[in-house]
Amino acid sequence: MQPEETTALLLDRARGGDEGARDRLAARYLPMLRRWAHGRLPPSTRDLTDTDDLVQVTLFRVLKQIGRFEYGGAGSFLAYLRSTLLNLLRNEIRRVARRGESLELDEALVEDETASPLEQAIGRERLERYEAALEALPARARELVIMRLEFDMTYDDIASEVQSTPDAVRMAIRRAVEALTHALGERA
Amino acid sequence: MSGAQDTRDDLVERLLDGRPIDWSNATSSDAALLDALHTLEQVRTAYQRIGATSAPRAPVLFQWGPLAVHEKIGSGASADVYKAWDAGLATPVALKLLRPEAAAAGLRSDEFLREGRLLARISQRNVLRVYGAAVHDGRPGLWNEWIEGRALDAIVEADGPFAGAEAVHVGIELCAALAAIHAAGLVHGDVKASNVLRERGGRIVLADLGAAGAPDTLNASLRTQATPTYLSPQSRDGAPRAAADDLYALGVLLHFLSTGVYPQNGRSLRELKPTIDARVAATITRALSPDPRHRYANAHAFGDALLATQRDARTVSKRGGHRAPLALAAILLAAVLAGGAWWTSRATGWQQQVELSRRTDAGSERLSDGGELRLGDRIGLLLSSNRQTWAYVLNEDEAGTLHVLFPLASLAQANPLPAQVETRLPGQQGDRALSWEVSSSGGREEFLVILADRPLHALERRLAGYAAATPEAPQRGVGRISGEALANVRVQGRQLNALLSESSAELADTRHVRVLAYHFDTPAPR
Repeated sequence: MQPEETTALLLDRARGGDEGARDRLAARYLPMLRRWAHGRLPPSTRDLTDTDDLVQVTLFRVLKQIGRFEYGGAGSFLAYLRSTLLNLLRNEIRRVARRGESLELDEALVEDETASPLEQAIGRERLERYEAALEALPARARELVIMRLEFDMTYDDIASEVQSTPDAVRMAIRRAVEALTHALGERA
Repeated sequence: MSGAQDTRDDLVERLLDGRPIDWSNATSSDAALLDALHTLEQVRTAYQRIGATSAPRAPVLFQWGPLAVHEKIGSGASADVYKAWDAGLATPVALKLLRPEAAAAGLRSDEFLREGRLLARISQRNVLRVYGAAVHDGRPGLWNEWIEGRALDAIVEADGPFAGAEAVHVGIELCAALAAIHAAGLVHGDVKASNVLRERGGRIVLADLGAAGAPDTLNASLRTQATPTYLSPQSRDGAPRAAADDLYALGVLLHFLSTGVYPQNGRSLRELKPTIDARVAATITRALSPDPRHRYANAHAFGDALLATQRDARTVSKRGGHRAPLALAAILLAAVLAGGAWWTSRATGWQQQVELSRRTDAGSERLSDGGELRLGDRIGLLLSSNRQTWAYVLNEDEAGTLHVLFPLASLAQANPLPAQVETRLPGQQGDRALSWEVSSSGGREEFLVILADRPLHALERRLAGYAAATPEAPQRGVGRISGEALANVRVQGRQLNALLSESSAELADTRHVRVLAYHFDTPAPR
C-alpha cells in the first residue's frame, strides 16, 4: 500500500512546481469547498453553478500562488482556503446588496434575499456569534472545529490531515468544542 | 464527576458524533450552555444538509418562490399551511400562505410580512425557527422549520396528563422561548397545548408564530383568534394584550399538562391532582392569579421559579427521602397473548411470555413478524412469567446509537418484575402509561430484550455506561424474533454486537437467561 500523501507533502511538492501535486490538492479540496460555499451565498447573488465557479477560481488562484503560502502546520491550509473564500463571498454579498439599493427594492425584501442559506437556517445574529466565538479560539483549535463541524471530516481524515492519531484528534476537538461553547455562552 | 458534567460531556460527544441530541435529558439549569450547543448542532446539520440532499420525490402541488409545495396540511382562519421543500436549505419546511380573505378580515399583508421578518430574527432553540417571509405570485407567506413530533395536546389526549417533573421541564423550556420573543418586542398571543410541539429527541418547540406580533398589530388584527380558555381575565375584559398574557396562558397550559383539564373555579390544582408536588402546584397557581400584580413579572422570573422546584426535587431525592408514590398497579390489558413469544426452560421450569405491541385507540395491537412501524407509534413490551424476572431492553439505531430503554432510574417500574402478573414495559410515570415512541423514520433499528430469572450484574455494570432513554424516548419499528439461544441471536448493530460478545459468559446460560432480538424497519413517510 502506498503511504497517503498528506497535505503538507502535497503542498511542499506543489511549491516545488509539481503540477500533479497541485492537481491532487485541487481534487482533494474542491468538492469540500463547493459544498461548504453553497451554504454561504445568498440566493440573490448567484446561482449554484456560479458559486461553484467562484470556489474553483479561488482555489486555483490560491494554488497558483502557492509559493506565497506559509504552511503553518496542521490543518491550516484548509483554514486558509476557508477564510479566503469567506472574505470573497462577503464582498460578493455586499456588492449585490448595493446593487439592490440602487434598484430601490423594498428594504425588507433585500434583507431576506441577502440571507445565505446558513443565515436563514441558523439566524444571522446567531451565526455572527458563532463566527466571533470561533475567531476567539486558538488557531489550531479553530481549525479542528471547522474540519469536524463545517467540513464534516471523519476523525481519521482529520488525523491524516494534521498528522496525528484519531484518538488524539478526537480529544483535541472535544476540548476545542468545550472552549467554543463557553465562548458562545459568554456572548449570549 | 457530577451529573451535570456527565450530561454536558454526553451532549458534546453526541454533537461531535453527529448523533441526535436528547434535549429532554439535558438539565435546564445552564441555559447558556444548552443554547451554545444548539447553535453548534445547527451549524453542523446546516452544513451537512446544504448542498447534499436531493429533493423528495413526492408530487409538487405548485411552486411558491423558492419553495416546492408538496402537501396541504391544514387550514386556519386566515391562512393555509403546507409542507414544502426549500432547495436552498435542502430541508422540508412548513409554509403558511395568507388567504385572500384574510385581507378583508383586516390582516394586512405588509404587517404579516413585517412580523414574519421580525420573527425570523429570533433564534432560540425553543422557538420555531422562521426562515423567511415574502410575497410570491401575489400571495404573502411565511415559512419555518418542519418539526417531526407531536403537539402537547395530542400527547395528553393519548397518554394522559404529564408527571409533575415533565410538566416543569416543558414550563422551563417555554419560559426561555417566551423570554426571547418578548425581548424582541413581540407577544406570542396564542400559547396553548396545540401550539407546543415535542420534537423527536425531546426538544420543546413553541410554534404557530403566525399569530405572534407586536402588541399593537396583534390587538388590531388577531385578538379574536386567541383561544378563550387561555385568555387572562384582563384580556377577556378587553384589555390590550401584552407579554404578561403569554405568561398567564403558559400557566393555563401547565395546569392542563399536569391535570388533563383546564383551571376551574373553586377547584385547586392539588384537588385535581393530589400527587402533584406542592411547590410545583404553588408555582403554577401563582401564574394563574387573577390579579396580574401577584403573577410573575416576566418569563425569566417564571422560569426561575420552575427551576427552583426542580432543584428542590433533586435535593430531596438525593437525601433519599421522598419517593414519588408508586402509582404502579399491574397494567392488565385484556390482550390475547396467542402468537406472542412463549418459552420454557426445560431445565428449570422457568416460563415467560413476551409480546411487543403497539398502542392503538382501541387498546393494543400485537406487532407481527416483519411488520413496519410508523412515526409516532407507541410501543410497549407485555411480559408475564412464572417467576420474578429481570428485564433489560436496548435499542440501537442505524447510526449506531445505543439506548438503554429499560430499566431506567427515572421510571417507577423496576427490576425484578413480579411473577404471575402481566406487566407492560416501560410502565407508568405518575398516572401516565408510558410507551417507547417511534420518533424517526426512514431507517432500520434493532431492539434487544434480555430476560433472566436472576439479576445480571455484569450486564448491569456495562449498561450503566450507555445513554439512558427518557420516558417516551426514541423507539422504532419491529420485525422478527430471531432466536432464543444466544448463539442464534443475530444483530447487525455494532454496539449491540459488542455488548452481546462482552456479556456472552453471563448471557449464554439458557437455563436462566433468554435473549430476543427484534429487527426494525421504519419506512420514510411519503
